[in-house]
Amino acid sequence: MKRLVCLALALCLCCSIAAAQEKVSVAAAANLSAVKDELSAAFAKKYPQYAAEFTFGSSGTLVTQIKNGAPFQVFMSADRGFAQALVDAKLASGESAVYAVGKLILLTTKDLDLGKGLAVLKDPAVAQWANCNPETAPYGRAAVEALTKAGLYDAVKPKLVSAQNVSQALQFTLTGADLGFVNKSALYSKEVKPYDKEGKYWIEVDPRLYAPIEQAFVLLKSAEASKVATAFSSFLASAEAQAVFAAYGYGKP
Amino acid sequence: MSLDFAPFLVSARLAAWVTGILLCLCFPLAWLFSRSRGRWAIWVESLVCLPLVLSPTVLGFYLLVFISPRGPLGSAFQSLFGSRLAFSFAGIVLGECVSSLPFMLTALKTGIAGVPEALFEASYSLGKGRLETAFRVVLPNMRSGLFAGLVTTFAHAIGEFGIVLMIGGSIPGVTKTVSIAVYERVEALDFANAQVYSIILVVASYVGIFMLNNLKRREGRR
Repeated sequence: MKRLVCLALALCLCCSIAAAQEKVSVAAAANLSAVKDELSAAFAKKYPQYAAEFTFGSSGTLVTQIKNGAPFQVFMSADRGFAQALVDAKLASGESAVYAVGKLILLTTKDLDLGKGLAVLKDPAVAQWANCNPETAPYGRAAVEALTKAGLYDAVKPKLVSAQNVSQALQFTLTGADLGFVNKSALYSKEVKPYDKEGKYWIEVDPRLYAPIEQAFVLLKSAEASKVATAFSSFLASAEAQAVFAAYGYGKP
Repeated sequence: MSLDFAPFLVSARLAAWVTGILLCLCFPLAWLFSRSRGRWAIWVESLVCLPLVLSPTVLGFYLLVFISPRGPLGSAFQSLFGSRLAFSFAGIVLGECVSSLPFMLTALKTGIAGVPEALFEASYSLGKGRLETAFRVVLPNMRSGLFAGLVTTFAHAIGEFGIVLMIGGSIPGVTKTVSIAVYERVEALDFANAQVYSIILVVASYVGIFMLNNLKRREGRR
């Protein structure tokens, strides 16, 4: 019994030590998951007393959660629209600000002729292609926009496999589907590294075919008074953060 | 407000397939597990009942790996039927069969165990084989167990979400079930349609459970 009490006390102690470092809780669009570690490291380097904790989802999902009281402090959207939705709902402190510009790529793990560009989707060798839900995920919307502009969408829609966010689209692309539209930063994750051969396994979707994916963030009103949260939001505009985004294939705001 | 009823049809079709397949599969299994004295039975039974406690995400993950065109099951299916198993109707039927199996099995086992031993003996001593005993003696005497199995399996198959989310791919009219539709409506902040889908589901589930309880009560009175 005594030993059990000691163990419990030790556990509590460990937990409280871990909690001593103040953490900002960030709701981040799924496309940021590859950047997370380096972004956290850069933040911790600039503010050694603070740390960042991320929760990932599609931007639409996260907005719904925040509107219903999810205790996040900063929201990093995959576009302007969803960040603006929180400003409109009077849940944000101040305006939204763009921190990076996302790029859309078409990725495959198979031997397909990507030289055809987007038209490769019409190829009979492609039985299924993955995209994330255009209603909630900005990358999904960009892909639909590009395909529509290229006059391909209606023809290839029957082969579409729909994912809930861009991470799941990537997961589908790496497992069951032949091709998928994903964020360019995904190329930097460990699982995708073997396929980081431009032209062979991926091509960038022509940015003229879709409205720029301007990824914006907001500081939430409930976190206005939090020092760590305000530090994180000013960090996102800093040169250090911008360097991280640039290293992961994002464009400058 | 435009309400799409296709997800209900997908769910109903899916649940019907799963219930039918599991009925055929679980009856012999339940017979074996409730009447076998062998030590191995408990090992196998524990294995097939795993989905009862295992997270659907674990099942979803393994299924995704196994049924992808490169996975063992997926490639076998493709060479047999010439079509994909991942992100297909057959794929989610398979997934839900795995996850709903314990529900059907437990109900049928309880049903078989409730049939008096004397009936088995009478049937055997009159020279009837196992098959005839099963269909003409056991099945008619385990109506509530059978019904419980059908209702809980069907309801569970309609309600299953995690696996379908992971291996379905939300294809309208094929793998977009009503649970997925509710989720997507909520995600898209379309609470009005989410509300309608959900109310229909609540009412339908209540009716199912009510019928089940009603039958149990009547059987109890006998």
